[in-house]
Amino acid sequence: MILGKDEHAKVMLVIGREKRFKIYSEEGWKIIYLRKPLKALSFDRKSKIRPVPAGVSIGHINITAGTLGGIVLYQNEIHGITNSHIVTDKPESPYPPEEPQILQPAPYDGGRIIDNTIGFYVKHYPISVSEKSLCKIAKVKDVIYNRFAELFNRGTRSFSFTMLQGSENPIDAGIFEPAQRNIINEQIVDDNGNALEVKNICGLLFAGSTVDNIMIASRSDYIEKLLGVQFLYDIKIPDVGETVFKSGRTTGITHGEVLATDMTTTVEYNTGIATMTHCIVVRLRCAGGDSGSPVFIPKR
Amino acid sequence: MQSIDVLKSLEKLRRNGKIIGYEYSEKGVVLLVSDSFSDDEIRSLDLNIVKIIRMKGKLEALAE
Repeated sequence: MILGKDEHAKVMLVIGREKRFKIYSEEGWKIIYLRKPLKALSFDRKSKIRPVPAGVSIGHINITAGTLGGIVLYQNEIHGITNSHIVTDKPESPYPPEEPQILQPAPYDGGRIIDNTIGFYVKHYPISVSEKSLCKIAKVKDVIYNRFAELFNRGTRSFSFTMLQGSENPIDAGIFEPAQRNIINEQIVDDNGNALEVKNICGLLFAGSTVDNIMIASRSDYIEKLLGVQFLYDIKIPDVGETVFKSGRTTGITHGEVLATDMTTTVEYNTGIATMTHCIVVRLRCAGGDSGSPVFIPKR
Repeated sequence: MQSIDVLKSLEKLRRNGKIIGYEYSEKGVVLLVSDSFSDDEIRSLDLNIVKIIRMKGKLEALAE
């Protein structure tokens, strides 16, 4: 079977070794034999991609993996934006991480400091978390519950935390400066790696429930206000019932209905429990590694 | 109930782990609750609830 030919250069792309190809060959054609038909190369969000678009694997050198949320202007310079817990390994600390390197792909996806450093930490909004409880009664309650849970083969376990007063977190966001000019760009990509036409940016996904297909995002207006940055796309807080999209490292492009736009909720981090305020809640598919994904409204 | 009282009682419910989240506006309250939270328990809250979002799992930060 002939897959394609260039009449001018007399080059032919074929599968199989049919007799007629020999005739072409005698007429001076160059025959390139293939074993399998040509397939479109799939876009791998976890591989090394340059320039880096929003929606692919990135992460601080000491974390697992998250997603690049896009680029913003900070002090009139281009910066990359994602979550606090993706741009630093200590999101609860108000101080910069000891090592500033941001990798693409993220360390979990094989990113190494020499080949994959795309930027350096600049700042993040610290996430106040509750600490593990030191109360003896709470500890006894946890032990009793967990013994019974083990006995009856239940998957749940109890851990008591001390909720800190006044520890509300309006956003989970941080920025980094690119290691080289033009190493990151403003594009948000679809599952084939093609740039999407974006109308509005609504926020950054930071948490969710994979069981329920519910994700929550920090709002772009609070991110701009509290981090002192400016998104390149127009920002918009979506209406309840409106459909929004996200582009994430793990689950790619998914979309869903907005359920709430100013929710106060409890979120579990590795380091403890956090109270998150002013959250957008959307029913859409998400999974670990999607943290930092841009939540947006495409142009129709 | 005054709006400040509604907010206080919603915050108390969240901190006690009875509800996962809430959104309060003049239109009413949106509740984010665990699947095990019964309709009777919701009715007993005595709030102007306009939407209930039920969840089986929990909300967690989505790093890999």
